[in-house]
Amino acid sequence: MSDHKPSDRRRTSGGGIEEIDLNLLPFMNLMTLLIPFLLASVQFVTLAVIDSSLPAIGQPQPSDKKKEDEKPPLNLTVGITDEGFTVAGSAGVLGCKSGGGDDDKCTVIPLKGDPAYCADTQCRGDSACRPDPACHDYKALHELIVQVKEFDGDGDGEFDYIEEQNVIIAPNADIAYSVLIGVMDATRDYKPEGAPERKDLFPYVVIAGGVK
Amino acid sequence: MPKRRSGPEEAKLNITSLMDIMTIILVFLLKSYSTEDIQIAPSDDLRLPVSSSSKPPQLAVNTVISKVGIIVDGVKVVDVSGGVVGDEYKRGTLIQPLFDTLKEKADEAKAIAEARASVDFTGRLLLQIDRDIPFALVREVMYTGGQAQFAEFKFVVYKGSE
Repeated sequence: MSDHKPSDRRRTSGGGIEEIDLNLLPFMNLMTLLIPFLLASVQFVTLAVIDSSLPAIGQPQPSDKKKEDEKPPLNLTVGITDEGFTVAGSAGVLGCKSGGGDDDKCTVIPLKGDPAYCADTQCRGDSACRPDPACHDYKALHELIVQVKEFDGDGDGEFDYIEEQNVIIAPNADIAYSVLIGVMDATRDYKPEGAPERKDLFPYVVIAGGVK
Repeated sequence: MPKRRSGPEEAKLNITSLMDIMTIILVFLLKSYSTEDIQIAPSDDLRLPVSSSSKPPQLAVNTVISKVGIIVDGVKVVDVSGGVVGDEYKRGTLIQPLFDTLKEKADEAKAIAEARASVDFTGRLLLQIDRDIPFALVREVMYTGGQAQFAEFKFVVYKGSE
């Protein structure tokens, strides 16, 4: 078996075959130089970016042409507080009182007191971090947003807010940045049942000042 | 050094299996070789959050908000302690040293854009923020960036599996 590599073939007993003694030293030199250099430039973590823009300077709306005002704009707003999420908007599924306003809290998603869930979302495999006992419930938020996107209030077979792409996120002053990223992830896209690809939910994020 | 000459005692070191391992490692490393425009310096003070986003980063003004300070393009601009910038550096919501640095960068970029027709001033700011920084500081930095004419913010995150 060791005979199969050319570098290993030695003179057989039959004679007439020269001994091939491959000098592997130069090759070894190359390896010793190349491998540390490549190790230094290997990418173990991939970076990605999330777009956002200031609320006052240009709404990043994909299409500016509005239909003949068939439906009022959704104005989906996700407030992030210490006690959970507050989702507001003009969609029927959110259960908002008509008229809106600051007291129109609509749906509130409280914190989830599941240690396993918190360990997974807050630490994401990082062994050094200690998760909080109760953390924000991104899963419930994601499900609610999917319900809003797939809401068909007027029964015409089409989702009412299929063209809405904006979401306003309003965190409180002391909310950690990772929670904001988690909310952006929950509202960006989703995988409908039985569909092969992910579809957009509300990918354009506008970050508002928040409720102090 | 492996003995290649056969002396009175033939002790040949067979390094072909080592070569096989090296070749495989080399192929793997060549596959994951990449040149990335933006540099991140991972440290305990800067732990980016994980996200499901998959947009690749583009070159822009690099602003890092770590647990110890705000650094713009490698130069530390102001200190951060306990997730807050000291009040002596702020004018309301604006962080003065950061505003000065960003305004300089914006002016430079605009001058370049005027000189060369192919380059536009994009007003793009790359934000690398540690995951535990409170939103108040993020908002102050975004406001300061906006005042310095940077309207497009790109939050840099680690690409997580979804």
